[in-house]
Amino acid sequence: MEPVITRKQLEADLTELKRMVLRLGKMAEESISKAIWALKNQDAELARMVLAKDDDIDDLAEALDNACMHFAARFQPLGEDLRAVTSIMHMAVDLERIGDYGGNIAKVAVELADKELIKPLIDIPRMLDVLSAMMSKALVAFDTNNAEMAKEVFAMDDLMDDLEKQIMRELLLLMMERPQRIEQATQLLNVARTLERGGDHVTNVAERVIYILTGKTVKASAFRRPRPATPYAHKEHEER
Amino acid sequence: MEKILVSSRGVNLFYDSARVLKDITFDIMEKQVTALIGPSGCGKSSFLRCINRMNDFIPSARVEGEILVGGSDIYAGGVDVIALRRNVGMVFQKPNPFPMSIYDNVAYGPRLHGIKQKDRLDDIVKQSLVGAALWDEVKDKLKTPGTGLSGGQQQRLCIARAIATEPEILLMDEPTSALDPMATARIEELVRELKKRYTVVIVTHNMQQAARISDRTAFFLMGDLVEYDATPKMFTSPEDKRTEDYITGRFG
Amino acid sequence: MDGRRFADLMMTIFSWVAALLLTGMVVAIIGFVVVRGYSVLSLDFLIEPPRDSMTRGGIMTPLVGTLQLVGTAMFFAIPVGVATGLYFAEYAGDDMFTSILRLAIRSLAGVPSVVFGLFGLSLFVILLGFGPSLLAAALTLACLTLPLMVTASEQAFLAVPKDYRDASYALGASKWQTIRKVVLPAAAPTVITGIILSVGRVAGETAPIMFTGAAFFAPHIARSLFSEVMALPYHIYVLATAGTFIEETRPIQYGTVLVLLLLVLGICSGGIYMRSRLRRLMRR
Repeated sequence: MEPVITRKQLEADLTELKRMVLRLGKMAEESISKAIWALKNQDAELARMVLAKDDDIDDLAEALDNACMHFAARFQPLGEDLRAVTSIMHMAVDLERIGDYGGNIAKVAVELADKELIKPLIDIPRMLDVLSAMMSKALVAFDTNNAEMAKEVFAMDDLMDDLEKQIMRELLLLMMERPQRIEQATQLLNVARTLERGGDHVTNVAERVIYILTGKTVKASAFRRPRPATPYAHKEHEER
Repeated sequence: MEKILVSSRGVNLFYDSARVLKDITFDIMEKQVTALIGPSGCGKSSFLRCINRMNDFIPSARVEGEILVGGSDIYAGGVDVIALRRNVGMVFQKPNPFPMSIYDNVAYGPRLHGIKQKDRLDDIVKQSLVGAALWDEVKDKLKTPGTGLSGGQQQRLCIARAIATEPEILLMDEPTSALDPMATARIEELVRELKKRYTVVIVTHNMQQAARISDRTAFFLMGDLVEYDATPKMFTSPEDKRTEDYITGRFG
Repeated sequence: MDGRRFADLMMTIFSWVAALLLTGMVVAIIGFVVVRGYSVLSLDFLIEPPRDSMTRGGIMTPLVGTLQLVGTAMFFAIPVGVATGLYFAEYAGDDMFTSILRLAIRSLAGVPSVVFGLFGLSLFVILLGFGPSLLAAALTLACLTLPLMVTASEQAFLAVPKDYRDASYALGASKWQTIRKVVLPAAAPTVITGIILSVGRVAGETAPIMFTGAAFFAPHIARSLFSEVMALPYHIYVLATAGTFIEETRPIQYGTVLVLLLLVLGICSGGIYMRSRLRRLMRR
């Protein structure tokens, strides 16, 4: 008996899974971008819209998870198909988490909407820009089966770390100057932290894309500049 | 821990001038299940039949290279083919119990090799049927024809018959392709059990089956051994593009 | 009704008519014989020899003679026929010699039985000096039946699935072990059927034995292979054409025909029964 894999049906379903991933990615990216915008522009309205959309992202992630299970049950995929479906399940988790981060930031934005900001936000939006670029790179790499492009994502994560550290230094100075700023500074610090974590999740997505395409498990750290041990090295290790 | 039991070294098989196996070189590990997969006509069954020299019956077949079983070349001159086949049992695609009683089917091999004492035969028959997970179903009807059993039971009877000569190696040529899913599941379960005592080499068209039951998988394509690796590796991330294409059903 | 369906209908009718006609014929023949011969049938008829120029008495001598002939013929034909069939099925290569041998056997099957009679006369009776005897007649019958036996057993052996042989070889059996323990038993029902059909044919043959050993009349059953024997088919022939009192022997003649017919039918159905039993035993 020859293997009866209806390649055509399988590919159609796989394409649908991919489309769902891209849509989820787009929603997550939108969530986090809008949240940062709301924070920067103190737009409580926009922040509430982000929070309202959080459920949609969760629903889509769950639907994607189910679709993956159905795909596995129907085709019992092997090889690249198997890597794709298991990776997509992981990617759904990562992307959903990024969406959640958007929600977390939006909550901060709501709180800070009617308060005076301790400083104009510059580096946080820059982190967002990097994160958005990483996300779109990872997703395009996924969409176009481009492992090389996925690898480019890793180096960009260095930039995220740099920005986070810079923000941290700056906020520490502000806090030392005037302890009343501590509350807000801590919140902003958390936002930067959240963005940095978002970067880690995008890195996971990129790793998965490479795994699907090559069958090799890559460590993002292999593509990043060597770093001395920092308090974050430990945390990063956990996240992988 | 892992010990090589069968070692194929540069094996070429010819049917007349057609070369159906090309320089097949790989090692089969003791007490593991090794699956041979590949599209029809890729040479996997032909290779299987080299291991117990069943290709000897095809007049035009000619084997070059060495197959070492337990360290000695089975294609060397003066090899006792009968002893070889006793040591390398085989189970075929279609269940093929002889048209005789269940007992006589299992006792066939031992009798060939000169065992005549009734109590010894009784013991071998029982042990073999137990080993093939068939004893409970047939212990009360050992004298009835083996051909009266269901397809799955017949195949397990054939497995019992094959292990009755106490082989080291069991060759299985698509043993479940003629069976329904339930019977197939029982055979697969049995194969996992059998590897505790035997080295199993199984040809299968069903990649999920190979993935389920084997420790190592060899992928054959047009007479070449394309890739041979641990089964989980083969079915998640094979090295060769052709393997990837085959297991994902892009051809074959 | 279009042409195709019409043709279909016509063929159906034609097949039915043909089948009915054939069945009718068989029934008519049996009926004819039963009606004419039934009256003389009795136990005495079977166990008494013919008396008074065959106008009285029974058919004990020809009946026993036929059994002797068939038995002796089969004694020679079965081993040779089955062995030859085995040779063709298992050992013969695809060479010139085999083809010639095959052709010879096929042609032999087409030779009229009277030619076998003449052949038996010149070989067994004259050349080998057996004289007209049970042995010569039986050997002639054996020759007659050989082609059928060879072909039937060859087919039977070839029909044994390759799977059995593979399984046997894979267990380390030699060729002869495989043949003896697997091929022969598996082919046995078909071989036996072939043998029994040959027996039926041999029992009814007249031409091969009339020159070689069948007696017009013998006072008692043959006690040695070199005695002449009476045989049912020849006895019928004699009663019908060569007797002194044809009219008076008529009922005996039909009685004899009936017995021969029952004998042949009995052998055949016995064979079929045996085959089905063996088949069931083997569950092929």
